[in-house]
Order: sequence, then structure tokens, then C-alpha cells
Amino acid sequence: MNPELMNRTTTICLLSALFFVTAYQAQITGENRSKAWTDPEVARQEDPDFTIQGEYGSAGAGASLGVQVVALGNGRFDAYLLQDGLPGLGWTREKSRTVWKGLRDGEKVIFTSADKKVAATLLGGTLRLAGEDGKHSTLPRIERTSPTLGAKPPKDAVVLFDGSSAEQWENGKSEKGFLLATGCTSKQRFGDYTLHLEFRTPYKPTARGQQRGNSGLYHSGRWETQILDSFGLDGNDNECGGIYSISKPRLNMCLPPLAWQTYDVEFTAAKFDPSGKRAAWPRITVRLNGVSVHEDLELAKDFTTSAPITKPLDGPEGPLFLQDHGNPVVFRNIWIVPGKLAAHLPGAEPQTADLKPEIFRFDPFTWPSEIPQDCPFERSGAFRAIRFLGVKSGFRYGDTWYPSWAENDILYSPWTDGKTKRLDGYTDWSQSWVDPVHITTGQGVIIGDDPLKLVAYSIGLDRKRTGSTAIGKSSPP
Amino acid sequence: MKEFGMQAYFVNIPSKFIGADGVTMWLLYSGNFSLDQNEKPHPVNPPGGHYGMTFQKIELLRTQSSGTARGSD
Repeated sequence: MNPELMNRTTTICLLSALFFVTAYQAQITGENRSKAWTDPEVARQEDPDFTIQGEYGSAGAGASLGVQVVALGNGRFDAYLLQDGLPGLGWTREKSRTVWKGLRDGEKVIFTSADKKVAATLLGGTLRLAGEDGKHSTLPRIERTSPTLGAKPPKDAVVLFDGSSAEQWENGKSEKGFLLATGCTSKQRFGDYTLHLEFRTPYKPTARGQQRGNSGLYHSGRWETQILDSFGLDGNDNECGGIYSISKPRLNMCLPPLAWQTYDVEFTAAKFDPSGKRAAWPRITVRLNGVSVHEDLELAKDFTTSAPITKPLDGPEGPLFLQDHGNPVVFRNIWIVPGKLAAHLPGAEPQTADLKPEIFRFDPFTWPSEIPQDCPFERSGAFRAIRFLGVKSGFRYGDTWYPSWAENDILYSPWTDGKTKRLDGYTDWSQSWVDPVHITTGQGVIIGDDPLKLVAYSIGLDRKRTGSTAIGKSSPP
Repeated sequence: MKEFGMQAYFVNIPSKFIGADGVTMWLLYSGNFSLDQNEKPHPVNPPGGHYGMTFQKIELLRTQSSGTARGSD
């Protein structure tokens, strides 16, 4: 063959091969990036990675480690090791967060640390971590659900979507009982409000960044609380829980894709003086999956990125808007309580039981008066024993009650942790296991002269106190 | 009270619920914030204690009064 012709032929063949390879890769990449599962059962059947991704560790506070395993597609994973437990249960931004790379081989995933050593294996829903001393520790896979999931609308709520119809929304479309992310706008406009909304992002393991289950919830059509599958990621302002271009969430509380998640939002509208001049920016408190991610945050700009309303802020009211970002995000159980906020703090939920104490009776018995050897006080000589008379009263809500008796004959008491019912039909939820800045202390009352007929309830949450009973600290005065 | 608990905390006696005799009263505490240990339920002692707010009616037995130690009731 003529050498020049051979060179041309070789060049054409190489270019053709390169074109073919590039086109093939583009096709594969395009297919993978467009693959989105919207049904967890189908995802479970079709992709073994789906049941591997998720959270590992303890569902309670007090753990030393939590791990979030993020599926990246085709058997690849990132594992984020979080000091002191999963977000919302111990880990906070100032604590360590380490990433390991994982690769699935059959049913087993092997994770390697930055120095390429095998750090952990994952098999059958258990993550087995190699310790420095040759010993292993194990973490089970857990599935957390938001404590406000399924919250029922209070009697004064406007139900914006209950699964039956999208008629409350302009451009709204419902399918299989879900409201679709069609770029729909609420027909009603709101000023101050408390909002409950449930959403589900698709499972798109090969997608990255803003292509991974993107939508958004816009308040007053202007300020976006981001909706995105950002499970395990840094928790930036453009990720789930973030106020886009204003503030990143205090914690990344995003759950794995295809898990139902909740936003509970308390929105205080902007204020205007009689001349129409803005006197105050709006403020927002946001709970993502039951955990506070923004507390009374000022929204000090007219709108955030891609807002449907972009004219200068000129009034306190506006609609809700659910963004269409080309991803099959779905919504359900959306309701809003317009008006002043004090009676509808995040975490409030309909009361399902009355306020009567729970009585329990048992056979009386006596314990001798004994004190521990290291007790700093002398044993009283006046009493020889304590007799339990076989009747118990009380309530299974709140915790750590220690009341003081006031002049009006009511016992007033702080309480911490758990949920305590209120008289107005809602429930207050206090947390001590979050970071010291964001804990709340409940305030409650116990009314009545007979412990068997007491009425006890919460009268609100104190959000200004810092310190954590869980770690034995309190704030300086 | 060596067997009190096994998780019992914030133990107090509200003065409103101390009887006129000075020895009958209601003991208030919280308990059992974790439900199990190694997948076994925690023991609850005295009976009826739980997470939240537990009131137990008690009597302090004076040194010279009659009464029996636990195990004989």
C-alpha cells in the first residue's frame, strides 16, 4: 500500500474509532445520567446499590460514629464517617467527617481509606469496620423517618394538597396521589405562616450535583428552600435544607433518595411602614426532617436564584411555588396555617390523646434506707425505710420534670427532650441532643391537688437557652 | 434504693404533694430514656416507671415505726 494512503487510512480509522468511542461513552453517560428511579420497590429490584446506600449506626443519641453511604452508580460508593453519630443525633459541623471510597464486588462492598487500606466491608446490611488494634466493630443499616412525617393539618390549616386534587395550584398536576414538580404556584397568597410539606427525591445514582433530584420550595414566590438529593454531602446553601444563595443549613439533614422527607417552616413576612417602605426583611425558621436547620434567619434580599417573582419586594404576601427542575420530585401532605406563628411552632402536631395521667397499680413493698458508700451526706437516723405504696401516676411526655410550687397553686417546671402536649391541640418538641446553640428547653405546668387527677402540659419552648443536658453542660449566666 | 431505676434521674419530691403527716408524699422522677440494652428491655423498678414524668406514692418509715424490709411484703 502506498505509505501516504496507509497513513490517511490509519488516520481515518483512528478518527472513526475515536468518534465511535466518544459517541458510545456519550450515549452511556447520557443513559446513566437520565436514569431515575421513582419507586423504591422498583429501585430495590433493579439496582443492588439501592439497598446498600443509606445510613449506618444508631438511631439514638450517644453513638461514637455514624456512617452515610452514598450510591454513585455501577457499584461505586462514598462512605462518610461522622464523629459522634449521624446528623441530628450527634454529628455537628465542627466534628470530624471522613470519606472512604467503596466498590461493590458481588454482594459485598469494600471501602478503602485515603491511604488505600481496606477500612471496612459492607455485607448484608452491616458495615464492618477494621480497628487499629485488629478488632472490628459493626454498624447496622438503619432507616430514619422524620418525626413530623404524616402530620395532620390543624383545624385552622389550609390544605394545599392531600393527594386528591391539585386544584389549589396553578399549573398543578397530581399523579398516583402525589403532586408533581411541574413549576406550580399556590392559588392563595400568604403572609406569616407555618407550613408542613413532604417531598421525595428520585434515586439517580449516576447523576451529580444539581442534577440529582432537584426541585425547590419558594416562599412568597421569592426565597427558595432547596430540595435536592444531597444525602451525605457537605450541606451547602444550594443543597437540601439550604436557603439558596443566602445560607447553608446548620446540618445536612437530607435523608437518602426515595425516602419521604419533611419541611416544617415558620415564615414571618416582611414588614412595611405606612408609606410602603420596607421596615423589615422576612425571617424564616426551617426544620428539615424534624431538625432545625435555620433558626429565625433573615432573608435579606428581594429573591433568590430562579425565583418566579423577581420584582423588588413591595408587599408582605406571596404564593408558594414548587420548582420544576426537570427531575421527578414528588410532594404530598402539604398544609399551611396562615397568621401569627406563636401557636404553631415547628414540630407541632395534632393532639391525639387527652391530658389525663396514666395510673398504674402494683403490690406495695419496702426498701431499707441505704446510702452509697460515696454519698456525701450522712444517713438519716430518723428513717429506716421507704415504702412504695403501689400506685404510680404521670405522663409519658417530656422528660426531666422538676417543678416549683407557685403562689397560684400551679406547679411550674422546665422539661427537656421529647414531645409534650399543649392545651391548644398541638405538641411541643424539645431537643437537648443537638448542638448547644440550638437546643430548646420546654416549659410546662402541672395542675391539680391529687396526683391521680393531674393535668400537665407544655406552655412553650425556650429557644434562648444554650447548653446541653446530654453532655452535662450549661451556659454561663 | 440500690435497685432504683435502672435509669432514673431528676428525682425530686414536690412540696405540694407532701402529706400533712410529713411522711406520705409523691416522688417524681424520669426514667428509662433508652428502651433496651443489648436488645433486652431494661428492668423497671419500682414498677410503672417510664420515660417522661413518673409520680410514685411513697411513705418514709420512721426508725421507731413498724414495717418490714423488702422481700417480706
